[in-house]
Amino acid sequence: MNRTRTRITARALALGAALYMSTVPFGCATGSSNAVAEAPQQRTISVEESLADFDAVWQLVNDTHFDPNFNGVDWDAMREKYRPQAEAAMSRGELRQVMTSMLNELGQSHFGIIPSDAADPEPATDTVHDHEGAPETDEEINVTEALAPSNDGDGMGDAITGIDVRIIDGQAVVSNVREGSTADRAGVKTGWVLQRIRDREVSTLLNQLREALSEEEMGIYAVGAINSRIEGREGSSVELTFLNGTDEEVTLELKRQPRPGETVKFGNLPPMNTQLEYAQETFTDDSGREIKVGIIRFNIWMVPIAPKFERAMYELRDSDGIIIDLRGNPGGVGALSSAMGRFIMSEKGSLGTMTMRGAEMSFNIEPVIVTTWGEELAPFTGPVAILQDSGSASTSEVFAGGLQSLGRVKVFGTRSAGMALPSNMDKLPSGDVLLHAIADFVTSTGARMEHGGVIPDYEVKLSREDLLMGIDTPEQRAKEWIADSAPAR
Amino acid sequence: MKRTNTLKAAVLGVSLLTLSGIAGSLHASTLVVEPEAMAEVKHDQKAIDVIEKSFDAVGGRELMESAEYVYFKGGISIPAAGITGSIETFIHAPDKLLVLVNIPMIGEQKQGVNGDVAWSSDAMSGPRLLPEDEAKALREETNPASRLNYKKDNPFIEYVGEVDFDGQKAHKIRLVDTDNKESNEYYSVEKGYLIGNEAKVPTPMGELQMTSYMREYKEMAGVMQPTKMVQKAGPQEFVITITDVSYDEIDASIFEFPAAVQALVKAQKKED
Repeated sequence: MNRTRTRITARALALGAALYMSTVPFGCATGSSNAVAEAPQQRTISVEESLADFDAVWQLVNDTHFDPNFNGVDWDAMREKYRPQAEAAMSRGELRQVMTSMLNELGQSHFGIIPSDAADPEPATDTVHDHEGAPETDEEINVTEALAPSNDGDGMGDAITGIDVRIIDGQAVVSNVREGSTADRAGVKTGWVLQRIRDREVSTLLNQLREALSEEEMGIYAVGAINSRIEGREGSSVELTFLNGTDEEVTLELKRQPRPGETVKFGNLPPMNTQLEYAQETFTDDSGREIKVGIIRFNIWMVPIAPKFERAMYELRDSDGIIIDLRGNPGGVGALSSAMGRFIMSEKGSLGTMTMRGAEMSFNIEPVIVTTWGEELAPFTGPVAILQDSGSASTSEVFAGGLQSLGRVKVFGTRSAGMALPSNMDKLPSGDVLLHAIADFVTSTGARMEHGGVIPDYEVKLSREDLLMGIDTPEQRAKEWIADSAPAR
Repeated sequence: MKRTNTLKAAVLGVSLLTLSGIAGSLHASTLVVEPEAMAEVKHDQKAIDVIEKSFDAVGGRELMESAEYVYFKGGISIPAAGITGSIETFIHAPDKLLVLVNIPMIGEQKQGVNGDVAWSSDAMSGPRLLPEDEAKALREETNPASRLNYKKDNPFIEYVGEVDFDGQKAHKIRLVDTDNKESNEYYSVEKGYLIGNEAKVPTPMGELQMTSYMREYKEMAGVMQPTKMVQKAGPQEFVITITDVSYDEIDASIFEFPAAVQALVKAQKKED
């Protein structure tokens, strides 16, 4: 029976390993924080508490980093360099910055500190979120706080106004307006530029982030930083100022409404909203042929998405082609990449390999034969396009890059985040969570996702001009490719 | 009589629990055995003595041979992710097994064997008929008494020596099975129990080099057994804790295929 448990846990361990192909939580204190918070006058953390967390962080990385050479960094020297700073930290916030600075020396993604109040937040209340003395003015903002969940006085919550933004040419541009949302009812249109959230200039926020973050990090964190300032308690309002299609300022007070989808709390990660939507669109190509395209969008790779994805693939099985939209999708449970790949791979294959210290795991795909409800289903064999952008990270990159390496999909959009290291999320003595990479990942053709990202087969950018005309350029290009590629029915 | 049988079964079940690493499909990482050498059976007497002593420590051969039903339940966790869940296992020798692992936000994962068919089903991967390497490994768990065939299953059994393992003195034994797959076993010098093993284990993500630690032996249902098991593969760690064990009869319906697996079996037959 012992070995029964070995088998069982081996399988679960495989799953668990893949689970760690984690998202990059927006509440994670990461990035090269150039701005340093002003030290409080009074010590609010003891030396023992500081060193307990610091030593745990150093040791965990020391024991589990996939590269015994720590990406060329002298890890012992880092301990010597930062431990005195940790010892001198006057507050929990300051300690987090010290530990984050040490982790940043590694120059890799998936290293960061998730504050305990982000990892295990209290239920939504009217209480203003305490950023432990976070500066509120644009001038004093530091990156760690800019990236932390913020509701600017509207209490904790993730209720939305119904807009999605993307960074286009350095501006936060509305890329989608949810039908029926308060933003939709107020007349917000795609292509509008978000200028201010209340009295905070979005351009200032972006500039501050840009100064401190790499381009890769900007892609994944900037949108999250903006969203966290738009979101808030359900029923509360936020004043947003836009530049409309004729570049006139429009200020709207938008009420926040419940976010669709399901909120999940997965292990030590912060609660995350999961949404999957799918639809089939029919259009006529240049030759007059009717083309059916299935479009699936989901915002994160969490397990509740799996049955929805399965249902979507089942319902869309008569499509000429499928578009899987991973733009802005920061990753999640790694094993889902294989689980979802089985619906579009008719042969066995591997998306790639994660290499840990002392172990390797392959993201194998076994083609679907039967659905979870017992109906026979063959894998989809028509053309599949994946949409990605600089906000597509981690598991999204494993999926897109892995299938691209296998020659099964074409990728449209811009280069992905290049942040694809499977990671653990250990709880520290204080309750903060250390996100730390434990493996590297390469696709079946040896393409390394970390830093390199997934290079699209078709580089297509969103443009404000097209969005103002209601055109999603990458999606449009993918539809055209499907029309060209789909065999006659 | 019934009570005696139950007790025998209990002892047997626990024996199997502690000796699980011996059977043949595991690979060890360090021992290199030339194919020619495999033709020759080599069983170190000292290694045999250690293994036999471990049988005695948990109840003895006779009791092990009488096991028919085993049920256990407990908790499962991945500390490095903050994930916890539950686990239940049902065994009816010689060829039936069901394992239920339930983890919030992952859902229920099932694995089973009924006759020749080994399967799994979960929300992520859907229903699967296990490929032969995974199936073989799981089938071996359906017959607790198969452990007693360790000599036949492992032509090469070597006593390596006394080593430190998991904080205690242990006898290290290397085994190579009939498929030339290797494993290392560790037995407590003081108590005789199996306290760990190293092996490659087949998983859906390929073979994993894994080290297992059997800890906290306690008396449960009248016998001694490890109540905590830690599995490590690289930097990852899994923990199983056993809270309940029973050796009473298990209803046959437990082992029936779920609808999706039935459909899969049917589809497979059609393909064949």
